[in-house]
Amino acid sequence: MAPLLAIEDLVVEFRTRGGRIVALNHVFLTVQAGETLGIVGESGSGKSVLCRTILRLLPTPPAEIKGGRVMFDGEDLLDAPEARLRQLRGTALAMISQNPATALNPVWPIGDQITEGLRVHGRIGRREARKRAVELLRRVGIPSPELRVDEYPHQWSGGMVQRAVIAMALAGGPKLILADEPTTALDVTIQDQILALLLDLQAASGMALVLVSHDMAVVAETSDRVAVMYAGRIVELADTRTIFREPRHPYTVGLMQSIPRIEGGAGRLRPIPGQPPSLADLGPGCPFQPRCAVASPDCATTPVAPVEIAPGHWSACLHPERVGALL
Amino acid sequence: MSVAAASPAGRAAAELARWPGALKIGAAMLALIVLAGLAAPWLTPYDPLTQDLVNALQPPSARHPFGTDNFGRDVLTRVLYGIRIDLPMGFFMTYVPLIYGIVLGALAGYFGGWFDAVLMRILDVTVAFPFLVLIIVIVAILGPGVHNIYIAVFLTAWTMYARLARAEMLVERGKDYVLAARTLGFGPWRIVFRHVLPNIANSSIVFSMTDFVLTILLVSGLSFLGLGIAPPEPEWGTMVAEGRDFIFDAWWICTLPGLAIVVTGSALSLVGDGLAQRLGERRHALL
Amino acid sequence: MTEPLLKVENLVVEFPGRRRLVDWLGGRPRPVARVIDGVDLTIDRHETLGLVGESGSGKTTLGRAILRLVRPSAGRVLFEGRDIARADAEGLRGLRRRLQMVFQNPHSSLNPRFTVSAAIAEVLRFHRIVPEGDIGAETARLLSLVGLGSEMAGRYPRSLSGGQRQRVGLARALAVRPSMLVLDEPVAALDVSIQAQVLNLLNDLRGELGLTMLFIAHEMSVVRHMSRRIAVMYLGRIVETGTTDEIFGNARHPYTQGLLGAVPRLEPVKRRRQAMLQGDVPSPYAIPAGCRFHTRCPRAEDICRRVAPPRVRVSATHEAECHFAGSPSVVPA
Repeated sequence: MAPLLAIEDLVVEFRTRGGRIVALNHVFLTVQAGETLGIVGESGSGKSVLCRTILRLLPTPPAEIKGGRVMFDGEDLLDAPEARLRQLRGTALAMISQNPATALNPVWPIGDQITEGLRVHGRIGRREARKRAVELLRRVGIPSPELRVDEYPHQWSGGMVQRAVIAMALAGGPKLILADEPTTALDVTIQDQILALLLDLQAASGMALVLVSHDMAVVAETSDRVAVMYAGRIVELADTRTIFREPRHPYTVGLMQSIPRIEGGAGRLRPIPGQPPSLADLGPGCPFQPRCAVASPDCATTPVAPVEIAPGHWSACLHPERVGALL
Repeated sequence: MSVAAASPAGRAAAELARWPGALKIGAAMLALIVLAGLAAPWLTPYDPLTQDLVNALQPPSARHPFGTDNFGRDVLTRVLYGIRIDLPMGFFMTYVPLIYGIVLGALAGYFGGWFDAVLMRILDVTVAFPFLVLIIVIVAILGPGVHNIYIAVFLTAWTMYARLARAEMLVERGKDYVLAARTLGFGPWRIVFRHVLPNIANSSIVFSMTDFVLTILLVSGLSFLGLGIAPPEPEWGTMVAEGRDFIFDAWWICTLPGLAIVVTGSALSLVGDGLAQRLGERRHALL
Repeated sequence: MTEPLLKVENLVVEFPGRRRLVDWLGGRPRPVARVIDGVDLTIDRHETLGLVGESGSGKTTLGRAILRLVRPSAGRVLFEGRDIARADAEGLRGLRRRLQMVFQNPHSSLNPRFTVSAAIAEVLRFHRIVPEGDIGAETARLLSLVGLGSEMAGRYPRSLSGGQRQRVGLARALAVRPSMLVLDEPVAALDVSIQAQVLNLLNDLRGELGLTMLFIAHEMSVVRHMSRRIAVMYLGRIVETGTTDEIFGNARHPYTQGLLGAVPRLEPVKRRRQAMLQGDVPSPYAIPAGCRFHTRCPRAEDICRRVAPPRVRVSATHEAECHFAGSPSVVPA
């Protein structure tokens, strides 16, 4: 079956004062219908740029799409005209952004914002739109939505606003939702609620979900497959169980070992040494090599590309066989 | 990152390279105007005050590029000497109130309490009157003359800066670096003057460029109304006022000093826009 | 038993709210937010106490009240036996040399106009920690203490990474040679791989310098890693305290249980469960009557809506404010 979303060899560059930087370096990904794909990475890894590129919301310039394809449901989004993109964004393709506080317009009633897309694309009337807004708010777990549909964002808590943002994304009946750190700005207990809600909605509607997070644990609990990003590249991609049980990239291992575990096991953490690299000065070899425990001298000079080391398991490491020793 | 630009000259060059176009053009214009004012005695063979009635009301020519006025004085000479009056007045009337305005506003914002309450009431009262009307009333009470314009402006112009600085201080006061300074035991004066003031001065400095233009217009305007600098001083506004009677016969007498006001104002506005852009960029880089 | 280094007694912090015109006309009083509502806390010398809670729990305000960055409305904060809440300016200055704070946001906790060395030297000079001639050497020592090379000395904050800034903030706090640090979410704003570096550094410094710490965080896992004892805060009160083992193995307050259950596990097992706690933290302007947690509590009964729960002693080190804290948990942690 053809995947719902297939990204092939995507290259995005940014022009800055210091020259060109490669924000996405030959990125490839697939998302099947109804699947949850987790994308983990730190700041600067390119995960947000990737989301925006898929939606074609990157400001160009400074960004420039240098190559590749983003096939969504059979059409290349990179070739699609702006009118078609606008139509897709309101319907089949939706995004949930990180900061609920700025995701809604503060001077508009929430209900109107949720159904604005429907009114633009589906040409439904005001009364019908209001009914849909109430219905959508009920689906995302807002109590007594018929009373709250006319309220403004500042009257709602951060968790409730994020629910409204999700309702907005659901309004067009999307086939794919891109959630860019949807719970990072929220408390753990609210994160718990939002993740449960997203998974429930997904189970009910069969939509696919791309969940971007810096938190390995969030991804572990929610995703079917996981992509690990570093310095604008996909460095490892596999199903969730494999990523956590048999990782084959040292960065993946480093990410897991550097967070304290809720299950305990005190003792010293094993941090990844050094700093995330600056995209402006990367060498020809593996970008993780300066921080890597299993690097060999040729890692600094040999360009690495992801290799399928087992069916469905990709690793961009010259020495994937050495990674097991780190566990 | 030009962190490592070692020499001061190198650092200055690097900073200059980052200036937006508006700032470069504005600063160049302003520098030329200042130079022209300083070099006025060498740039022109005439005296700004000596009358030469034989040559009165000459149109612009090679000998008198801006023509002569009804007393036969060279208009270009008077415009150049006018720089020496208008620019310093604008400067002092803008930057002296700026200094104590920022300080008062910052202190009120930091300490709050009765001082803040009193200051805010004063600000409210001054804002209730149109600025120009307020100045005219004060000058009318005190009598015309340069000194009284200074007094009137010093009494009123600081309020804008106090308002700006107070608002910014209210924001900065809650930031972690201020809390850190308090935690380290630093006293309030040290925190306000050493730590916060340099961080909140930017917006006032940007605003001051617009204010500078307005102050020059104010001086000219008051002089035009007869409340400011009296003839025969070569003040631009006074010259426009004097030339008014001859506007149909000798357009150059009031138009060209007016043009000087416009050009100076444009230079200052460009500097203001450019500074806003550059300082905004820098602030952005800090985030 | 020796006197604890820090003792907080019945601390209350209130913030006045905005009084609307209709309230004023209706003769209603100005609303008051009780952000800290009667907190008791002790920290022994060389101990690290972890303080957890959601945003709105008052944990940051508690940290700031301990340093007298906000003024308490009632209660006492005894540090080395002296009351910080009532100290005069001179006394406060002395106390602040013994008690320091590390802030959450590395982007705003350093003055953008001071170089690293200037920021540290200012502290050394102001408190006359070392003679003028030794300031350069002491600055270098402090930088190496927090794992920064001396090449950082001339840099401005904007050219430092988040982790490096956090280290500079730490060096500045350590410059006065304090005996206690209040750390307000010191790693929350950092990248995952950098968090571990900073946590390890804090652990090392604690041993090396014999520091006492109040470690404030919203992440249970980070607190577990850093502390031997934990206090859980909800809506201005400490609802449960205990050793780390007691809190993680035998939590008695439903809120603590909910917090623990809400943390995602690092296990590739797709979740099939409902959220542990529903709803949001209520507003501190309108604290629920009875038990303040009853609006979100899965166990709440009639008594919870009427009577504020007593502080139930589970063990010598373990207390919980819940009517049912005496009986073992129903919700498995």
